[in-house]
Amino acid sequence: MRLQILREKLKKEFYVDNLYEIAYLCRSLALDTGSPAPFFLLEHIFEDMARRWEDVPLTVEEAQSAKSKMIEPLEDLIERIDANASSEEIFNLLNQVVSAYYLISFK
Amino acid sequence: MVTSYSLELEVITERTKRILELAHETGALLYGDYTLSSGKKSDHYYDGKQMTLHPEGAYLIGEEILDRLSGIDVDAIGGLAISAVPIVTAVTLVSRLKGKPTPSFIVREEPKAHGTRKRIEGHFRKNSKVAIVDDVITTGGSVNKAIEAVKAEGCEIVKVIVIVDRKEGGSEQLRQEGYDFEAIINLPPSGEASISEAPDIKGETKERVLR
Repeated sequence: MRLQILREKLKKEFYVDNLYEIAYLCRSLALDTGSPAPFFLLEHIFEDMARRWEDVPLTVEEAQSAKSKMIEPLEDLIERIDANASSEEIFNLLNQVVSAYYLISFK
Repeated sequence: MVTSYSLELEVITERTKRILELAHETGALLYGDYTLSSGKKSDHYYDGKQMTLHPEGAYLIGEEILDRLSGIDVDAIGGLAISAVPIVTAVTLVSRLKGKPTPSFIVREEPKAHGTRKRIEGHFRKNSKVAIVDDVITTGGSVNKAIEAVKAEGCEIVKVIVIVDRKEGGSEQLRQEGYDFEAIINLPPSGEASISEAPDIKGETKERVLR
């Protein structure tokens, strides 16, 4: 259920309030599983994004560009977590999420 | 007597005009396509730090807010970090220069899902009379966080002042709740910035010009 909510929030645009909600949701998922590492990482990625964009002029183009870089690896990761994929596969997908995150250019 | 009053009013209006000019000159007031924190889109953005961290901007904002507090019994002014930090610093500094020292405090943003550390820092007393300041009000989220934090400590909010009112419901809500609210600049969704309602001349200033 919460994974579905996470998917829906990721489908929305990336803006500060949504990013904080995603981070909070990831935290609750991390606290509620025997394998918290992926959600712990996602929580901190989204909280970091929200903080970086808080109180700065965020253009529509920047927000869309960030989402376009992140969305595919994120959706792949969540799909494979939902399918109980192996730790190795999840680890590789996490690396892709982190790599995509580092491609975002913050001011 | 009328002439003196008009002159004083003109001085205040000139300052607010200059604040509006500075909003453009400092790059605080930007025009483009922006995504706001709420997800709303806007063709303009007010970056308050460009104004309140500018030498002239900080001084004028400090003077303006101090004048708007004149005649009000206030123990301290404060607001939510980070946006209110340079504002309260400016007001406190100007208050010292004007011989009306007014201490200040900051309210920390509640850490998400944590929230055990001290939220209010600086010269703050429980059950005191405080003014809350911020750079922008949109729906009122930041201002309300500061208000709730000080109210939880038994304080009375005697004034709420923001530099820019985006006119998207926050200021109306505060007024409906009975707060004495003022904005220096109005910046409605149309993006047409204007000086907000001229402040009343009151307190010591009024006594001085009518003398």
